Amino acid sequence: MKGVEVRLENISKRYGNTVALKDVSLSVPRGSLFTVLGPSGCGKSTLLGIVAGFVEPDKGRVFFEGVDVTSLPPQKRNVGMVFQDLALFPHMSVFENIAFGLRVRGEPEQTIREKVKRVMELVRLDFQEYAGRMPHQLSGGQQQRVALARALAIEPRVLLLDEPLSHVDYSVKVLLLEELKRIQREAKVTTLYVTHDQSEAMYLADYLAVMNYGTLEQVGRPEEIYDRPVSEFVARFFGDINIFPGEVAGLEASSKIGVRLERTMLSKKEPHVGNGVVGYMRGRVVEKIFQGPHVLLKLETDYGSVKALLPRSESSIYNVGDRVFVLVPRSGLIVFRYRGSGRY
Amino acid sequence: MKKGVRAYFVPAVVFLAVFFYLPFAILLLYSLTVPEEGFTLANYIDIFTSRFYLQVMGYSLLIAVLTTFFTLAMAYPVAYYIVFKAPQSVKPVIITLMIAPFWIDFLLRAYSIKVLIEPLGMREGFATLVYGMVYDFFPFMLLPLYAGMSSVPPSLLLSARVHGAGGLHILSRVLIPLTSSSILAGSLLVFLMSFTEFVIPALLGGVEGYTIGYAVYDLFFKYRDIYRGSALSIILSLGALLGAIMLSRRVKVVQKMLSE
Amino acid sequence: MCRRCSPSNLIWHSYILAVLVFLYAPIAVLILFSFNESKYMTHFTGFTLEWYARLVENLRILKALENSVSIALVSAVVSTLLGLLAAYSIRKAPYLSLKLDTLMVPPIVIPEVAEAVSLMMFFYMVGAEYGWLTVFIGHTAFNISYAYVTIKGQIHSISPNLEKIAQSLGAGPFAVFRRIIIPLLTPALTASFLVTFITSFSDFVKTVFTTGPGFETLPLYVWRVAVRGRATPELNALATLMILASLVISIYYTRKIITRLGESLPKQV
Ligand SMILES: Nc1ncnc2c1ncn2[C@@H]1O[C@H](COP(=O)(O)OP(=O)(O)O)[C@@H](O)[C@H]1O
Ligand SMILES: [Mg+2]
Repeated sequence: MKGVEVRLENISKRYGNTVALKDVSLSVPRGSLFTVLGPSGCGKSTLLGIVAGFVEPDKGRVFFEGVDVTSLPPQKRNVGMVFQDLALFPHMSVFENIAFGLRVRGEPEQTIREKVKRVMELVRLDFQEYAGRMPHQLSGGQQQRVALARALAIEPRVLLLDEPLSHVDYSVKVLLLEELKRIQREAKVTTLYVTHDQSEAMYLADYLAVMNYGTLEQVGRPEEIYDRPVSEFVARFFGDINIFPGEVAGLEASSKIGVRLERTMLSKKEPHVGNGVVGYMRGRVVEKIFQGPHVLLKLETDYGSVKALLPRSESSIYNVGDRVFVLVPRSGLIVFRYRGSGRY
Repeated sequence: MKKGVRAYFVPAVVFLAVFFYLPFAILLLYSLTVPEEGFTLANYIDIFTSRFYLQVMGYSLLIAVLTTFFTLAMAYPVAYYIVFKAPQSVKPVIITLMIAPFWIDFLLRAYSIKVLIEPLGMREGFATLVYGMVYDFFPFMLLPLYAGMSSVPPSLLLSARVHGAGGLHILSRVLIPLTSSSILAGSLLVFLMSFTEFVIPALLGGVEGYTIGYAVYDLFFKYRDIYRGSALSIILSLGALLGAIMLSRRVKVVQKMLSE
Repeated sequence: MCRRCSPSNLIWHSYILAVLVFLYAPIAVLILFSFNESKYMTHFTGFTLEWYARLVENLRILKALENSVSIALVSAVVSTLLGLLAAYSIRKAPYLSLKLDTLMVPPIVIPEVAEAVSLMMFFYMVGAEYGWLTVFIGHTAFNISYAYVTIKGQIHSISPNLEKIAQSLGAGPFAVFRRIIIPLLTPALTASFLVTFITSFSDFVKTVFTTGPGFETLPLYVWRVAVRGRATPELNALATLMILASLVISIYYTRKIITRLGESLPKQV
């Protein structure tokens, strides 16, 4: 199995008055796991639909490995898909589900059997035990594996996953994410994974795009986006952050500053500005939440509520009701300039 | 390709246009015609001012109301029983037995009543006629009721019972409201069919079997008065359409109430 | 504790039994008299198969049976097919749904007698020869509507994602239709086929208005014999056979379709 490079150029799509995608350009490197993260309704499924060929873009082109496939119908694109509802064929056994794509291609029975066996091995489903079962006789996790196996059986050029894990319990989800990552590496198939859940995105992505209102706000490696988000929206949607008006750090009022929770420092004494600290504010501890290795402190300050994530060892001196100073450090300071229409 | 699929409805629509709507237009035209007078509402006026037709309509209405009432009263407990009471083991058998008559030729079922009344010493007439109607229309009431009853969550009944509600209370406050759209659907179906039915009355009613459906038949075949026959047919059709539209409104309202 | 024999259950079971007696007594009597030696249906005088023997020699009945079966079969196939196509087109173009419903539902609602007379006049005006074709057309107009409504109800419950997945796996529109849509519609298609078949097979009203001289179906025969004359043992024999056939269909239908309606829910309150 060998993935292709997928490139989208200036894709736009409207449904009546709704703009689903606005001038989206994107390049997914061959064999990579690319995650698109965004709130529900931002256009993620539409984007996948355009790559798969179900949705015709109003403008723009889609390239697989440099070849324009914009007008190619879905059945000719050789794209594997998994939807949130999995859409296993309820009237077919596990074997027949996985074999479906091979059958419509008219492959010989012997090859079909071998290939089905191989992908079932890849997704770790025992052939003997499960091949003959019907979808409703499987657990949720097993159904996920079948859906994935079915998509992989055709050796797709691209694998598209549309929120496949959003109905899955947390514990199963963690396991399946790990599996997915392994399978994707083994199959080396270019994968577009769409989700509204930042923890999934963080766990999976080689590359990440954060999407909002039909546009890609930022594309990059996860660490990059976490450390240097280009907008307040990206910062909030990918990780948690404290946001203050610019004046706290001595900047102009038309900008905002952000500090990740783990970079937010506290002090009982009034700090000096300078020496790594660009500003501070007074506050009071209102809640202390134990989170295993860390403790989350919620504070009320003159500039609104603030959260701080401290290692357990450092948190013991702060108790609910304590008056403290919240420090804004220079390292980790993120500046958001005003971008118009109320957005930073 | 997509455009092609969209056009798949064309054969069905063309068939209905030519063999349903066009004939109806002709019927409408005739109903508005009196020979040598041209277009007129005279046929309708005649029917609505004729004691005879009004009486026959009233009589058919009575038959339809009785039929609807008895089938509903009989079928509702049966539907309840099948869904909530029947032991699992016999349930399929009971469903099959209850629904089987639906598959038996309508006329044959009426005929079987005719055979039955002879050894019983009963005679053709109003009572036998209503009996035959209830007998024939029972499955049409049962099917929608069964479907409606099946979608009532048993947990609702259980929780009503746990909260101490008595049988009658559960019936009037829980079960009937939840199944009201199937009650309406089944009743309208049976009512419309029995109102214009004329095979069963003709077969079982003897001299008391003259219903509005029979009147249409007579107007065409006996009196050869296609103009009034058409008008009467149009009146019945519009009545049925009106009833169906009202029902679908009611059903939608009920569904909306339930989903909120 | 014996749950089954509590007083309330006793009442229930007797009620169900009473309904079953109500439904089956006439049929049972009819079947009984089909084996009756005597021509008169007041007493059972002795067992005979004579009426069945006469039945299979009765060319008029055989011809009527042939007509009924051929019309019902063709009508069921045509209407289920057209209904399927119409319902499928709605799936591809949901915005047509309401418009198409408005066109397709009236044949179900309009009283049969009105539909029948309108067809009779229509055939008269176009100068059609009354017979197989006119009767077939009359049956099929209603059946198309019925098939459409039945199939549309089920086609809604098929997730569009199934089609998308199938397509992405390489299935063209025809393969999607054949391998996904048709198999998943089997219950609705079966229901549609059986109900339209039986509706046509036992239709009397439309048939009587659209038939011509010399063209007879079974219901017409039953009508003519039963209404003009009296009930006859030969007719009883015919009825018995038809009832048995109906029961077979009914058992099949109940297994395939009806029990599914209630299957998904746990029962017993
Ligand atoms: N077939 C459609 N018709 C009309 N509007 C649509 C259709 N598909 C999506 N939309 C609209 O386009 C926007 C993006 O939808 P979608 O791509 O499904 O978002 P997401 O997958 O991120 O939740 C939404 O506002 C949605 O309502
Ligand atoms: Mg989506």
